[in-house]
Amino acid sequence: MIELFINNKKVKAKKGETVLEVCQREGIKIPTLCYHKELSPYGGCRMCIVEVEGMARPVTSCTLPVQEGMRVITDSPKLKALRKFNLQLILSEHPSACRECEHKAECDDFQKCIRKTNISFGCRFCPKDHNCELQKLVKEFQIKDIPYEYHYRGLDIERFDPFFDRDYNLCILCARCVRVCQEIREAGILDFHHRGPETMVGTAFALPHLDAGCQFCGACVDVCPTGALQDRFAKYQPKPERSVKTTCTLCALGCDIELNVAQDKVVSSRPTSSDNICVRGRFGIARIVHHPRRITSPLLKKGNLIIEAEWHEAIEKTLKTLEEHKNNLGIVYSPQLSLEAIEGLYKLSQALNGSITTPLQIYPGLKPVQFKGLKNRPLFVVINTDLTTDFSVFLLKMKRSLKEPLEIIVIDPFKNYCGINATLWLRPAPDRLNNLLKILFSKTRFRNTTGIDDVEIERARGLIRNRDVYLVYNQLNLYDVNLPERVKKVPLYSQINTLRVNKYGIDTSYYDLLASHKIDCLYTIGVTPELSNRYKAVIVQNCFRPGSDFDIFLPATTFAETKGSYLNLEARLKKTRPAVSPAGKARADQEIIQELIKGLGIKGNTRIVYKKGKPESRLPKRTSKKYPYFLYVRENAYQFRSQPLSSILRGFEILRQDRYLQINPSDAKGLNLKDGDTVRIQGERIDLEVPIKVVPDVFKGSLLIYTNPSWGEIQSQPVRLKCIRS
Amino acid sequence: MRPILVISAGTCGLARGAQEIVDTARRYQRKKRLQKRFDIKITGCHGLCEAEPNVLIIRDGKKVFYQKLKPEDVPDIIEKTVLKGEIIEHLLWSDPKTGKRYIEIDELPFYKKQNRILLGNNPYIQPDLINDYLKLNGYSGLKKALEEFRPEQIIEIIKKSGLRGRGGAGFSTGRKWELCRSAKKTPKYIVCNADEGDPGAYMDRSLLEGNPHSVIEGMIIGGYAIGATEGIIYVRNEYPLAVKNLETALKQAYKKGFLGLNILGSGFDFDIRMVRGAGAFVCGEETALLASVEGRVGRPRPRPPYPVEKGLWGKPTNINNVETWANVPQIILNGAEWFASIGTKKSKGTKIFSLVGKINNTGLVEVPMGITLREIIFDIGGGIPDNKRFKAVQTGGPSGGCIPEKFLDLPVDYESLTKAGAIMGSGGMIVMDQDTCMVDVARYFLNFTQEESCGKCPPCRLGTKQMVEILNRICEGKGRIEDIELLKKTAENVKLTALCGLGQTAPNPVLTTLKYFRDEYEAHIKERRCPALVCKSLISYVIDEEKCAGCTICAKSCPNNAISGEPKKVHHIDQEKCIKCGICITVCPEKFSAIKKVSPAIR
Repeated sequence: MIELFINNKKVKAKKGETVLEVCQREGIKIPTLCYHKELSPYGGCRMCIVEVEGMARPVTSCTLPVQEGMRVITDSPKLKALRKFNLQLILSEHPSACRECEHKAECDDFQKCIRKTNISFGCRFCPKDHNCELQKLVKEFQIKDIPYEYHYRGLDIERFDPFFDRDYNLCILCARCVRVCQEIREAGILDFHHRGPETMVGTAFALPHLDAGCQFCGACVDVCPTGALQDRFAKYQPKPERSVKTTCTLCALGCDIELNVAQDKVVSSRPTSSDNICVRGRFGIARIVHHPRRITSPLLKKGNLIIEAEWHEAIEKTLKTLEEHKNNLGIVYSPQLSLEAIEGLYKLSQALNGSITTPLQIYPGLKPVQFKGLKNRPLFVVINTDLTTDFSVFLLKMKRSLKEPLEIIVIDPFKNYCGINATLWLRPAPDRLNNLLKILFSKTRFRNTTGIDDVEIERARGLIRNRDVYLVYNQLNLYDVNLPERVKKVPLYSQINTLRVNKYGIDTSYYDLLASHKIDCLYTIGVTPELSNRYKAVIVQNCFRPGSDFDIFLPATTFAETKGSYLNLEARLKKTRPAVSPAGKARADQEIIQELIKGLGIKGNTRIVYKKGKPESRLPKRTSKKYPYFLYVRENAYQFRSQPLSSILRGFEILRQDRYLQINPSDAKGLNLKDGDTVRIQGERIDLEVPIKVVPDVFKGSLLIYTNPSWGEIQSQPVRLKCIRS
Repeated sequence: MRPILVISAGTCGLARGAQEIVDTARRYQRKKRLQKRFDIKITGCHGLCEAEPNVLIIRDGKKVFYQKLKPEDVPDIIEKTVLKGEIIEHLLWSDPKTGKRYIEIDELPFYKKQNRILLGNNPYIQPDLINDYLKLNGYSGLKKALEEFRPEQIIEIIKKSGLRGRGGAGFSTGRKWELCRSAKKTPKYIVCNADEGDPGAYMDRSLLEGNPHSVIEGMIIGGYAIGATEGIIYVRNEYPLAVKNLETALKQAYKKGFLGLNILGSGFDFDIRMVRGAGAFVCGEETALLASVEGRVGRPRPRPPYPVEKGLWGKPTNINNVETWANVPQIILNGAEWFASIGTKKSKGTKIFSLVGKINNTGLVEVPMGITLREIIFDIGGGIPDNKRFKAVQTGGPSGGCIPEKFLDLPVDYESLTKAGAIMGSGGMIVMDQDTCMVDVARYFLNFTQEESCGKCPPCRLGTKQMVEILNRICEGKGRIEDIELLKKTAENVKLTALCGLGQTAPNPVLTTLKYFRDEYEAHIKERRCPALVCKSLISYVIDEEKCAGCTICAKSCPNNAISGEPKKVHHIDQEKCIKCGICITVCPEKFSAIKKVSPAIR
């Protein structure tokens, strides 16, 4: 314990605390701008200066460690004048025309709506109006005029990246975004460039964020004290009134999240103070909930027409259809439904003797991910999985749980953002992965046919030696990979509830169910496959209208509008809370399903019979003359109810570009293909038309594609390509 | 002993053609097979940069100094002076005022009043030959330190000597070492700050180019005293010769066992490596320098904690300037009492200044602390050229202050300079004459600091910019009378609130010129007049009708055809067309001198 005097009052403090922290705890107000409690002290804005006895000039309290017997003055006419001077300088560069406007008072009351302009030249036109930390200080200091020339930086607004706009004319260079990017997210995309009056925040070589490797977690937007960084969706919404704590269910982590709500509308989302979130939770949720293409009323097909219907009509018709096709019913559900809904579906399926499946592969005996006793400098070997894009929050948790810097060896032949920053990134030829694993993990020597330099392999072997090694991988991305035994394994998966779905099991694989001719009626919940079979009836329950034909459409709510339980990667039960009331007539999945169960007279307490996953049918493992290319399939971890986010939101399409087939330039040249051309992929269990993208990273002879449940189930296999001329 | 031809070839010499002198001398020596008759030594700067390229002929105990040489002088020098000992009169240095010629280097008034402890050896050391340094007692300071003293004793000696940081702030070096030694964390680092960025200052460059081993030796002694394991020399990459010579010197020191494991059998291990700075002025600030060494953007952070507690990679780090380190071996070798006997009560030893600007003997001078400005400028520097009047001297680089004539008898030490509103800084000294406009000077320096501000804190980034803005306004004749007060207030506030030394000292040129030359500011604003006839917007060029002979030279040279007039008749300048380039004034024959500047401008 240290004793010091603040404004002549004796105050106790802990060693290592800063004067600002002590003052905030004691309720002594000190103005700040660059200070943020989660970030390292910066001392840049000079607003929190205090006078300390024995020091020649005022010092920033945010960086000043407490000392025994220190005498601090936090408020004096001199300090006030210096702070005001400083604020005036900041304003001499910050567009603030409204501050001196003679109509300010009336404008505040009557003209709130005209702020929706693109360029902010005054507070009233700024998305951060009434929510801006600089504005608050200006009010507090009652600054009416600035004795200096005003400078407008005249920079273009950066709108070329998805999700958020950047108007660096408003930036006050507080470095919060830079620090959050470096310290909290450990991404290091942002830093300062240039010097003196031209200093600016930006990426290396002023690249667009997309090219600089930004994953758009939005942490920078959340900490910006001014309107410089603007969520492109939220900037046109009203100021948040309240926030609702709930769970993000867009991936298996199930992060805690807070949804900002205004006028019964989800405006934006932000992480809770203890957690991080990724681009899916930060920029996906509000946009999905209020998506213009959402269908919020039941639809029925009558003849050739699709008409809006009332719920009772729709439910009646559904019940009739289900009963009619008893025994020949196929149920396909998305694992992103709530546990209650999934449970209900299994009951329904058992009662109606239907086949139930989901677009997931089933691995019996899947265990929750848990790190226990991480000591002895653990080494993580990540195989075919991009932790930075798919499991960024998980990666951060891993980093936080260790004392030493995280050491990772990434093994991935394809583009891997995690590999760029990893200790080592090994890129074997895609079909030589087993060879590499043998070289790395067995005691006997194997010949190196991986195409990787021996020096690199020796380095990797050196890192692995005498260490606790954990193999981290997404099971779905491991095609024909024999993992070494006796090494700890951490299988990851990207869909929430996977643990529960694996426990329940499925009747038949997704591919087989869609290919089966025995099924007359298909009931899809959250999944919207393109249908090639002709069914007698198709019932669709989803938020968005499916691409193919249907007879009944039941509008479901998103997880932000309803209560529900979910099981995450660590087998923790996570709950969602309704943040806003359901859109239109949409109803929660479990409600609809419960009503169907009730309508069919199924007793409430039916026990779920656990099923075993069917082993996958064997596909050829080698390319042949008939199928000269090998198609590698990666799981698309960016899904909303088994639909790629990129097909719902433009931003994710720009970020992920996951609807393309990735092909090597020389292969593309051989087939006379160029970027954007459409090809037909044909294999034993695949027949698909997709656009291509020429990517130098992809090895010759191999193709890379991301799963898309709408296309049906796709597995890694040898294929041939057919060029389709439009 | 064979005669030695010493050729000064520091960066200043090379810029004026020293390389050609070296080449010619070598070629001549080879051609005439004189290799056994005399030696050639290529050294760093000798100090009198005005006289570059120059040579020193050491023969029979005499040191003959020849200046401003051309390659064609070389054969003569070798044949006559080096081989026969004859003096070539016209190559000798002559006093611009009296015309007296001086033969020996030590007799030159420029050198006579100096006390060249650090620079004195430059003419006798070829920087890439460690033996030259060893012959002049090199590394005996280190030997003495390791053999005779414990680390605490060395710190005690440095403290007793009264050595203060030569980088500008003047913190007691011994005290700093003590703080760093008592810090608990390990490993400890020491850093040599050789990021000399002040315009017109090049003391550190000259030391590193001419005598790199003295800095290395100082650092090793410092490392031993502090208990550090690694030393880093942060040198700016714009000093290629210093970088090259340092690299060679480090290699030699390792080879001779002065660096590395178990130095001179003492059991003390020490490494030094060099980090090259990428050319940011702010990286001379210690915390920015450390950030740069760590590989981050060179931006300062607030202190405390000071680097002695939390420096490189969070470990205790002791940073000293090049000149400070070079002083250390001398103190160990000659004792604290010897060092403390030089200088004033509070400022001990000597200080190197780079004397530049409107002065006859431009160069590096090393003087004992406490010498007056008048002695430096008039006795050593030889006064102002062309019999012009002295106006002010700016010390301490862009963040120093301008000292007017009335303070010429001020003793040069840390306290007196600070009292006068200037700083010692790293030792830049820019002399200004009557033709210098003080508002323009303030504007020039502030423009420099605002461009070199790292941009972190608003007072420095925006405050200096606003001051430049106001000064621009005044120089353009658009100043308002309230601008003086606004300028003063802004400058004072920036000084108080800026984060690092750069911002805290940046307003000094403004504050000192406002203090000592307020009348010039007022003339600019009230009368729209520039007393020194510098600010373009406030002056006009006119032709004196009585003097003009109508030679038409000016009319022919005018780039904008602003001068009209027939041959042998008085010419006239059209003020509308005149772009104030000043070409006419330079081409007007001296016998007429018909063109003059007037202020305020004619409209």
